[in-house]
Amino acid sequence: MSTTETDYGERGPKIGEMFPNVRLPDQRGELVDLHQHRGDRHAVVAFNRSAVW
Amino acid sequence: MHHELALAGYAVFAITYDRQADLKAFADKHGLEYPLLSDEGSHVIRELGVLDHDLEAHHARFDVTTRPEQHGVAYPMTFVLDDTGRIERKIVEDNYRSRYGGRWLLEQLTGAPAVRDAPGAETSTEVSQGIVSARAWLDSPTYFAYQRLGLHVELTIQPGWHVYGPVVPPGYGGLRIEVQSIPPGVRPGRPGWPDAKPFRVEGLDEEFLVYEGTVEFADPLDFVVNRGSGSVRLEISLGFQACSNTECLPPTSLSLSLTIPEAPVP
Repeated sequence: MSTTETDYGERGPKIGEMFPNVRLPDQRGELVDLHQHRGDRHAVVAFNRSAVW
Repeated sequence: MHHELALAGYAVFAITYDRQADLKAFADKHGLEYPLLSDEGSHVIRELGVLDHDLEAHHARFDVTTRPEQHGVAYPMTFVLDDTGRIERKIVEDNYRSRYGGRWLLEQLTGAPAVRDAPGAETSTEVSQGIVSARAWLDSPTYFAYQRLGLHVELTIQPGWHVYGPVVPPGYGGLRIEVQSIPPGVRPGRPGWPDAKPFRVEGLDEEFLVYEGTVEFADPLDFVVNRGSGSVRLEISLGFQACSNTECLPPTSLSLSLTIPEAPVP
């Protein structure tokens, strides 16, 4: 399957950069500060399409 | 899936544009403990530059119409951060509906094969001429439509024998793994094969790259089948040529088959 019209690998924060700080509510309604929650662990941040479709 | 990463010491986050209530329902249904972050309105998605601008084009490839509420969705990509929060990897899929499933992502991140046999996953074994035996398994007992799973093929080669790697001079049987599915639609991605080792036969000028002993090959498979397809049967054809120090057997093949049921449709 060929890649799409835009190279999405080029989009968004780049390898080598600090991942931006993100503060969003989670499924329980609690505000989560990503780096604070991460602490000193390595992390996986997955942008998914939707939990609904 | 991701809870295995949590067990390996990774902090796991998912970010979507869904409302908190929908994420709660999803988390409860699948027993997910890690944070599913609600970027309702897609502000963070836009700010970070991961908005999918090409949704119509992606959907067109699958004959799917884009619904108005789908605009604002992120392009599926996964960032792997080191322990200081710096991005060390970005995984961007070239098939927007494939998702890394099973143990594939864990293996990619930790560089080590994860649990060898997924509980409940079928394993198929075949033996050839007493020299090479092959075992194949998938890294999940069920699949979801459009999911990416890992196919693992393990070869055990008798001592004193080796098989050629995939790159060989003309006339020799290089290693190949081909997969056909019923129903059709399962497509291989880029494989992660270990490096074959150099082997030189005394008296011959050629140097070959070969595998010996027990070797495991991992191939990603994209299950590009529609929801409701039910069980998928994979026919795996493994081609190789085995040689000892003194003789070569003709190139031959082994067939393995695996059947994987579809995960219950939510």
